[in-house]
Amino acid sequence: MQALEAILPGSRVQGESGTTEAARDFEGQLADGATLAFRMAMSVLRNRADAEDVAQEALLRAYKGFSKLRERRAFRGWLCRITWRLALDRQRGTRRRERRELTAESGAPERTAEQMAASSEFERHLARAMDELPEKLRQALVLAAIEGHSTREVAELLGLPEGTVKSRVHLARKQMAEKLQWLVKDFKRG
Amino acid sequence: MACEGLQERLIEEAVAPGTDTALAEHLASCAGCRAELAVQRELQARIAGGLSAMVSGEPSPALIARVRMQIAAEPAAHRFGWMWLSAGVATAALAGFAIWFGARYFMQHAEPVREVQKNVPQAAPQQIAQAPAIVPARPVRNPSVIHSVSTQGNAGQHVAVVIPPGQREAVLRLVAALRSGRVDVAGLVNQPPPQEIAPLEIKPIKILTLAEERAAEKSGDIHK
Repeated sequence: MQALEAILPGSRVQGESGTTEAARDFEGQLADGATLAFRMAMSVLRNRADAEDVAQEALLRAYKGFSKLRERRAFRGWLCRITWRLALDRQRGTRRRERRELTAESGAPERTAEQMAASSEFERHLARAMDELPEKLRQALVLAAIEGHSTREVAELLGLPEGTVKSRVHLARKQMAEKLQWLVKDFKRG
Repeated sequence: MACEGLQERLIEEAVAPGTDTALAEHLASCAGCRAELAVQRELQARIAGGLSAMVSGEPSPALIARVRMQIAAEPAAHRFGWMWLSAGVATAALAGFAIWFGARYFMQHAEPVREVQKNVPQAAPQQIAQAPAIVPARPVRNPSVIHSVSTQGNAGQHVAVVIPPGQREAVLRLVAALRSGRVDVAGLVNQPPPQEIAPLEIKPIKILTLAEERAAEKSGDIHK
């Protein structure tokens, strides 16, 4: 795969070592950042194509502001915030469009085969319960679920004290359980 | 401990095990609550599993390639952005110069009016009121044909008046007469108050018929 420095001759021509260094650093974080951004977007959008679009946009924005980032260690958290915001915007836009289509066609919007396969009964309820969570709780829960991040790692990503993150994740799990209590009857029957 | 009302504490125990010691004691002796806790733990496990499945996907390799290509195209886009910005600034500067030049051209051609307005002292309205012959009664509609005449005022002030072209000659003669002292300026300014108006005398009117009128015409009485 072609490295970013090889296809960014502009940064070398300018002779700005800072720009080249920034490009090199960004390239080093690109693969990891792409996965993180995609997963975050997927947790909100639950659609591969949309999640990849959002991840791409987030990485591009991150690249544009990368040279201004003082601490490169903060890149992942910064990327998380960009992706989260973009994903929520996309989700709102999609919902608005779906509502419009629903009103216009007076029927359920058509779902892709991928969506239908991915959304089992439980997953759909889970997704709905997640969407109903307050944003802060939802973000902490998702980050804790991604790659099994520890509380400390989530705290670093969000720039929050560990205690706050722990409390938010705990509250989010509890609220999820409360929202899905009606499914417990099925477990008992099963 | 009664089993009713323990639902929330069982959920709490499933989320964060071992935090409620009183509940733990109850669970040791209550099979029903242990079964309920097991269900809550299963729910938590399924939630965690569902969440994990939701966020464990890998992006396609094409994503990174697309990002790299977009970044590679970015400097060119920046250049074009600067070009558009430069063009905008140049257009704005040109428009500004055109407006300034037009305003300056207009001001130069309207110079007499501007000068007259500038030279009129604070006391001008009073002086104009005292010299009704100089100041035109009607407002001048076409400023381009306005002429100005200026002279020294009584108090050494620079006095300017606006007159239409048709009266210019007469005003110049008047100014010359004033300067030569042939006109009593004090007399013009301090005019005596108007005389009292005598009450209207109403004379009786004699109404004549046509025949009487003709007869009167013949005798010449009607003109008397």
